[in-house]
Formats: sequence, C-alpha cells, structure tokens
Amino acid sequence: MSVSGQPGAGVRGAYAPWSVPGGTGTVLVLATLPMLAGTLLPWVLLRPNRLAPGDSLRLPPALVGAGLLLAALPLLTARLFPRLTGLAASLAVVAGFWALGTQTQAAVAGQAPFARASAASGVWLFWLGAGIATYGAGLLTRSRPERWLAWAWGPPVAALFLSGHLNAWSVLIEGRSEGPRWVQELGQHLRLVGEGLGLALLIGVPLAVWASGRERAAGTVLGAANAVQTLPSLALLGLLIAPLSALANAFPALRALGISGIGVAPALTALTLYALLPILRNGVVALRGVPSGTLDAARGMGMTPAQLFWRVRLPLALPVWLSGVRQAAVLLVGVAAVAALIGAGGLGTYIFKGLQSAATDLILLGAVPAALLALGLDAALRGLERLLGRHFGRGP
Amino acid sequence: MTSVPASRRPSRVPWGVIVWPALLAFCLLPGVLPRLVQPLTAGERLTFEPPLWQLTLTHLGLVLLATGVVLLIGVPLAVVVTRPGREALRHLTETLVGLGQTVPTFAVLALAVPALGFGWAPTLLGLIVYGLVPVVSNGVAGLLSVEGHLLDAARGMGMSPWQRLQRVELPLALPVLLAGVRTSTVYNVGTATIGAALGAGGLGAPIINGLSQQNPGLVLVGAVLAALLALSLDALLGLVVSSPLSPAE
Repeated sequence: MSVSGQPGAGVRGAYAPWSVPGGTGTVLVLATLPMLAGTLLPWVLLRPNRLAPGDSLRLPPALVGAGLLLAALPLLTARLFPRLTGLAASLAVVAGFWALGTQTQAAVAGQAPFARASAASGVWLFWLGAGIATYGAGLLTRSRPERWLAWAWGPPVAALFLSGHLNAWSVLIEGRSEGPRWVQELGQHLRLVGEGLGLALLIGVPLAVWASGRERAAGTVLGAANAVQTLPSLALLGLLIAPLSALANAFPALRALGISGIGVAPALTALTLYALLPILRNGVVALRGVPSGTLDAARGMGMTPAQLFWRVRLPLALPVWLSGVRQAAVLLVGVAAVAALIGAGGLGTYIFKGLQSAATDLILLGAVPAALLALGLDAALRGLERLLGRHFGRGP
Repeated sequence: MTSVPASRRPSRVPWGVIVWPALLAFCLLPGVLPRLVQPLTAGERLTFEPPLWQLTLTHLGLVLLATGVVLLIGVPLAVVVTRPGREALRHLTETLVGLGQTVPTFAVLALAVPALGFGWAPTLLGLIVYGLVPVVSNGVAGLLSVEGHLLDAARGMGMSPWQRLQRVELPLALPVLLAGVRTSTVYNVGTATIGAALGAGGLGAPIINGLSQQNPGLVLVGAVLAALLALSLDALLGLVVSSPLSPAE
C-alpha cells in the first residue's frame, strides 16, 4: 500500500493510500483560507442594546494562535494521517462554537442587561472554512469506516448548546425571550408546509394520473406548470388576496370558516398551487416515461388495467415522481416564509420583523431555522426516496 | 419572397417575442394601469412616485446586473471544476449549488442584510447566489456531456487544452449552458420582487406596499408588471435558446 506509483489515485499529491477524488487537497486548502482569515477578523460585535451600533472585538492573542493552528490542522492531518482528517475538521467546528461562547460571555460580563454580543464576520468565515473542511474530510475518507469522523462535531456542538455555554450569544437571547412564541411560529410554518403539500398531493396525484393518459391534457398541464412558475411567489400571494376577500364578502358563511383576503387561507391556496406544479409535472413526465414495451409485456401476461397501474406503471414512475414531491416540499418552506407578509404566520414573521426594525438577531432567528428546515426536509425525503426505491427493487 | 417554409419552426416563439414586450410597454404608458385597476381601489386613482417605468427599469437593471455577474463567475467556475483531476472540487461545487437550490431564497436575501446593510447590495448578492445555481449546474452538466472520443480526436489533431476548450467543449456545451442562463434570468425576475422588502425598490415595492396597506390594486400593478417582465425576458432569451424553460429533471 504505497502512495507513490498508484495509478488509481492518478493525481499529483495523492494524500491517502486509497483512491481519493482528485483535487481533495485543493478543497482542504479552500477550507483553510477562510478559517485563517476568520481567526484574524473581529469575532464578536458588542452593542449596548439590540439596535444600536457596536464595537468589534477580536480574539485574544492566545486564541488567535490556537485558531491559526486549528485552521491548518485539517490540511496537515490530511498529509500525515489521512484517516484522522475528519477528526481534525470536527475539532475546528467545535472550537468555533466554543470560542463564540467564551467570547460572547466575556463581552457581556459586567455590561447592562440590554447589551448584546453577536457573532461577527470572523465567526461566520471560520464556520464556513470548518464546514468545507468536514466536507473535504468526508471526500478523503469516502467509502472507508473513518468517514463518520467527519460528523464527530455533532454531539459536542449539541452539548455546547444544551449546557448553556452559548447562552450569551445574542441570537439565543432573542430566542429565549421569544421562547414559546417561536415554537408556535415554527409549528405554524410546519403546518402551512404540511397542509399545502397534503392538499397539493390530494389534487395533483389523481390529476397527474388522469392527464398522463391523454396527449392534449398532458401538454396543457406541462405548459401551465411552466407558465405559473414564471409568476413571482410574492405576486401570486398578492393576487389571491383580491378574489378571496371578494369571496368572503359575498358569502359570509365562508368567512365563518376562516376564509378571508388576509391570513392563512390565501397563503394555503398559494402554497397548494405552487406545490401542485412540480407534483403534476414530474407525475405526468414519469408516468408517460414508462416504456411501452414494458406495458405490452405486462398486458401480454394478462394483467388487468388495475394491476398494470399498481404493479408496473406506478412503481416505475415512483422515483421521478417522488423527486417532484421533494422539490415541492422544499419550495414550500421558502414560500411559507414569504407568506408571513399576508399574516399567515410562520418563521417569516421573524424575518420581516427583523427587517423592519433592522434587528439582525431577529432575522437570524427566522432565516436560519427556515434554511435548516428546508435542508432537513430535503435530506429526509431523499432518504424516503431511497427506502421506497429499495422496496421496489430499484435502489441505487 | 422567401423560400423557407413558414411552418418549419413553431410559431409560438416569435409571437411571445412580440406580444409580451408590447403588453409590457402598453401597461407602462402613463395612466393605463392605474385606470385598469381602478375598480379594485374603491375608485381611488393610484399615483406612483417614482413612476412605474422607473421601477421597471430598476428591476430590469438589478436582474441584468446579477445575470452579468453570474456569467462572469459561473462559466469560469464550471470550466475549472470540470477539468480532469478536480473531481473533489466538482463535488464541492455541486453540493454548494444543491444547498443554494434548497435554502429558501428569502432566507438567503435576509441573511445578506446583516453583512451588507439595506438596499441594492444584499438583493444583488441574493440574486447572484440564486442565479448561479442553474448556470453552474447546467454548465457542469453540459461540459461533462461532451463525449470522450471527441476530445480524443481534438487531441489527436494537435489542439492544446485551451483550444479544445474553446473550439470543442464550450460550443458543444453552449445550448445546455444557455438554457441555464435563461432559467436563471427568468427566476431572478421573481426573486428580485422580494428584494423590495430589503429596500431595493423595483416592482416588488408596489406589491409590498399594497400588501401592508391592504390595497389589492397596488399589488396587482406590481404583480402584472413583474409577470410581464418575466414572460418578456423568457421569450427574448428563447430566441437564443431553443429549449423550453426549466427542463424537467
């Protein structure tokens, strides 16, 4: 197992005695640079209250030295002990959170209770670099048991959050003061996404099955799906207000059901319409994409139309169709954030409140969970796709 | 008289090129849109300060500037990461592009505010980040789809790597790349409306004002103009690109 002369690695500066994608060294260099810059830049922004301008504080010299060392560590480890690169990268991630905790605590110690210590540019750059380092470590140890080391930062970071080490960070102070209301808005966000997706599935699945068998209908559905996507989501939300408020005025019974121009009803209508497009498009494309030879063979085996659908067409169409459902779900997390503008609630409430009062922490309190929610939903639905794919014997 | 048969190309493309910009120009004539939405505003005549054509130009400027920067960054990036021996960089780029596609646009725009303040700058950054997604992913896909034997033939003819890129790879990847540019530009017309919440102006301003004042007429003015702008740009870019908007996955 010698590094030199191994044709599989094929690249100059091959790091590990196993096959590694070319350019992994460059990825780790790309990870080091933001971490070095982040260590030298301001780390904490201390403001007398949550809106006032503040002072930038840098890391103390000892921590700057440690930070520079940690920044270079993944690259060095990749050269010397490639198996442990994930550990080095995870160490950098944890150190970033730990240093943010100590520095914010030190900054607000002895200040008035309104003082806020937030993360400055250095922290974000350091996190960016550390994140790329874990990614590079994952590539370096891909298809090896050590790849799990690139996720080793998870438990310590969770412990730092749970132990209250980061409680002096301004975003968590805002979060604590919002407390139960934040949980409520998160629940509202999830409910909007879930109900929008559910309604879209209820309408879209039968419609896609119906349209996939008809040439003209399929063309119309695909055309309409593409046309509505050019319409900005903000515009669609706005346009639904007029007809729905007119409807509520004309039929007071509907108003009793909670339908009005502002609030959840127009938001839910817009979310359903938006989710309908990828579900319909991918459904029609997937169902029409089943090879006619396969269908003929199934018919020749004496399958009834119902058997043909459940046993042949649906399983074959499912992967592409499910990826449409996933696109719809991810899209809805974003549209639901904008829906806060028409009073539907959700995490977007915090983003708009933060934008109106120029309060960065409120923006972060809305935008970061919304982004994580989208990423988590994407990962979960990808997992479900793989699971179902394996169930139908089409796993990757 | 031309001898080219009239029915060779579908007539949809030229129609869109004429109809949508014409409708947009008609709506921008002074007084046309306010009169059209008068029934929705309880008889009140809307006035716009700055005028609507100026809002439209701001919007168009934001989108085109973002597209320009996206091309300057995205095309070299796609070329760099598709060179042999840089698979890891390509994986990183694809992961980051996937992140850009998954993270909500509004969150990206809002997160740019703490770094850049209010106004044009965070909106432009958000538009660039979001616009890079289709351009880079289509550019990478296009360059990767160039078949190996064509590159071998080019190498056999004595072409340098630069000549191969310039004369073989880029021309072959161009249709897919341009389709990405079209998608990016059209979607950014929609994304830029959200920029009004960050103080960037543009056609989102009447929409957001209308929503907060509960004035559907105002919302309709912004929404109609933004939709017409998106359809016009889509049709005009369709002259260069022959494939339809947003190729299905």
